[in-house]
Amino acid sequence: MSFLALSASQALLLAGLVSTLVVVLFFLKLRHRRVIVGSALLWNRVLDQQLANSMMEKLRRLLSLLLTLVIALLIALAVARPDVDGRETAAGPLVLVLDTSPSMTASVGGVSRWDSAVRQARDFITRSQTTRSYMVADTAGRVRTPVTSSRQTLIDALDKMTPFPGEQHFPSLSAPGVEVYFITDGVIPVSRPPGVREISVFAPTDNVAVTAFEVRIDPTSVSGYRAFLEVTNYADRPMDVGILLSGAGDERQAWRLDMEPGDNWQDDLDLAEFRGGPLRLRIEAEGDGLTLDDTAYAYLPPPGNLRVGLVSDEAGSYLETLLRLSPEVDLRVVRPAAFREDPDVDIYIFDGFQPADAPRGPSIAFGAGPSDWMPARAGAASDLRFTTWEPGHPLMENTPVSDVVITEAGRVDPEGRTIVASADGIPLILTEETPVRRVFLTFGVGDSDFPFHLGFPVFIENALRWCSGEGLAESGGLGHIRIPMATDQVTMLDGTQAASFTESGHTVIDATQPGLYTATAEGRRVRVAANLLDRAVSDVNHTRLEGPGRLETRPRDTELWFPMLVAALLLIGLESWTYHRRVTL
Amino acid sequence: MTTAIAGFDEEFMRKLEYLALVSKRFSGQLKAERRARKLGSGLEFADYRGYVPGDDFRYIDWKTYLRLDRLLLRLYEEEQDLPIYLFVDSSRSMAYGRPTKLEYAKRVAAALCYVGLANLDRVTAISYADGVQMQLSPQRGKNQIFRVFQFLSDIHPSGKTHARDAFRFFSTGSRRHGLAVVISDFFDPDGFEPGLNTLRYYKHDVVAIQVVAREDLEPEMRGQVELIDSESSAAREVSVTPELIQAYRDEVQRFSEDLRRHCLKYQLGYVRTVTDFPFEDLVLEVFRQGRFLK
Repeated sequence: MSFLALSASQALLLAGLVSTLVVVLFFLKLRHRRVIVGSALLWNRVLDQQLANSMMEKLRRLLSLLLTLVIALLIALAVARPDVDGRETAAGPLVLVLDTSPSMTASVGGVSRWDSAVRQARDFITRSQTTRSYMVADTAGRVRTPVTSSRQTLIDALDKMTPFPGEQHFPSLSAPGVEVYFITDGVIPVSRPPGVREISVFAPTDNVAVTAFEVRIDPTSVSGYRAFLEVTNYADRPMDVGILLSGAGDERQAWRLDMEPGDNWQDDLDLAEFRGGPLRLRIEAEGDGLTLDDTAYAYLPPPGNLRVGLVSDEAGSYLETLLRLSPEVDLRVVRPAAFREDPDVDIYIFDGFQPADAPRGPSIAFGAGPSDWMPARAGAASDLRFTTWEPGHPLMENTPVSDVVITEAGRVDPEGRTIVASADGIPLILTEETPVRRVFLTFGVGDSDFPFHLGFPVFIENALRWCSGEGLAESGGLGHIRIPMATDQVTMLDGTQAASFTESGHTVIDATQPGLYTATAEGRRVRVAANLLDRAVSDVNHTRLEGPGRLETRPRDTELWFPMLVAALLLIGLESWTYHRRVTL
Repeated sequence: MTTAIAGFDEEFMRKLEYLALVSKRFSGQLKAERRARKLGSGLEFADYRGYVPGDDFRYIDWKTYLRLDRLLLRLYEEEQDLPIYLFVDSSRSMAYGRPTKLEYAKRVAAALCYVGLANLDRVTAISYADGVQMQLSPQRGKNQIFRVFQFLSDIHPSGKTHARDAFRFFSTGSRRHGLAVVISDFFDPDGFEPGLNTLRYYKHDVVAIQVVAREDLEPEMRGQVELIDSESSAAREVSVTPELIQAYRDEVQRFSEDLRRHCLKYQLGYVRTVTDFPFEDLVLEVFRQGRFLK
């Protein structure tokens, strides 16, 4: 038996207090009226003769106490709402897992799928049997209670839960005999063990989403940028959609669209009229059920030339020519012998020369040298090709390098992050982000045909932007965004501090809403555009599940409070009847 | 007759006068019977005996001397007064009832005293409990009644009942045998027998007047009570039920019957009264037993 209103210990305490009180009151009640008689001589004779009567008196007294005690305990325990289980309780714990995917925030009529999930979980916990152990957890890995029968603990955990737009993992549940219910809308597939019962909170809703928003370098212009925009109507009806792209200044670009169900609108917009700074794309549609995908952010690098210092022995080299042709670069050429670090230089490019001390600012170095601040060289390799690279890295954006041949390259330890490697895994291009951004090419400009490839100027442009930190914002989805610098200075567009934490020398931003986050450390800035931009999430009506399901509670437990009160009343009547017939006191 | 003694008002005095008249009627019939065995200077001839030097020669029967030539002395039965000892139980149990048993006992004692004094008997009043508490010296004559009243008024309930000790203490003195009237509830932890036997042992003619309060007979209590003995202050928790009340009544009856049988067995006078019974009727009942007036 358990108690719905009180814990077992509280009920026990209550029973103890009531019993004590009853016994005290009983004996207070039995404090006899004092009657003075002339002589107790004859009374004593009578009483002594009635030994059996005396025994009966004790029995009557005991019976009275027992009746009173039982009545009081029945009433007290009825207050605690005892119940007995209506079914077998030998099963293991019951686990409720709530899907915290961002699609759970989709709402109809102001009630989100998340609201339904939490309400069902609360109702289930409140009404289910109490002798069984429960656990609640989410797929974000943020909330997980111990296995407990304390309803309050479970309710408190539910109150702490919120949808999380980051990565979703089904919690590991290894308890034997565990029974798992997964409350989900079925939009985002979450890998889960077999035997998990799904409870659907899916409800169809309208949604128009920004499914792509990206600022790219204009390949046709050395200094231009373009924005790629995509909006999709996932509603089952035509939607009147307003689209607004706004910049840091007064720049605005607006569209008004009538989108049929499933329509996908795209635009490639020249950003020449936009000044540098944050860009926000926002859509508005009446009846839109999901707000997370209605806004997206990007960053447009501000116009202005980089001050680049080229340290090279070779006068009029190809690299110097290339840099002089760039309108965004103010080039200063320095011979190695005359090299002194100039604070007015934003980025140094070392061509076949490695200074003994690391420059304080970012740099690009061709040919791994013997300096301590550069990757240690352990021999040389020849006849290498660009075989593997990270196409998503900003250095390699729009950079075709598939057939680059290197005649000779240094064999270095991959101390930094390898961006390009040979077939043998020999690092060819590496990057380092701390304390400042540096790019190392393990071969000299003249040791490969890379300068003769179309991708080389793009690579140099990418490298300069990446090293300067004033390039395009890095793209990140919502949730936890990990950036390779340790700082607690993470701000949002309005200057407020964003939730973040550092972990293993990295900063993890807790991006629960779309936004442009800026992390700052030692004069270096990293911008991250956190946007949902997830078609799978935005397609909120695409689900494996049927309509709203119901998390059925266990067979109703048998509550005993009413029978106990009835029994107490009957006993009170019995006590009254026996009292008036002097069976009890 | 008027009195200012507390408890004995005009009405009471009128009843005493009535009792005195009644007692005179009884005494007129029984006067000849009150004669002591002791020979002395009375009027009734009893016997002769030989003269011995020192005898009062006024009682020599000279006619017999002339006839028989012997000096014989005429003996007469000496008329004596009757010593009446009135023992009033003043233990705390006598303070029970409405009116209290002691109050009732005082009135009975006063009435009997008055009758005794009116008949020129020597009346001694004693209050006792676990010993003799107070004693009024022997009185004779109606005009002493106020002393008796004062004495009785001064009696207050106290102590436990131990009649044997009290009677033994009283009787060990050079007391004349007489009529011992014991007015008590006889609730003696030692039993009523030792006390009465003590008086019998000292050859007193005993009259036991058992005074019972209505509350003794019909206790008005129900439920859980703590009985407190007024004498010993001993307490006892009792659940009073009708059955217990009935058992108690039976016990009271049994107790009175035992006392009556005891008195009958030893030819003691016995009168049982309840405090709401008119005391003058009680006194007459005592008279009818013929012990008080001889």
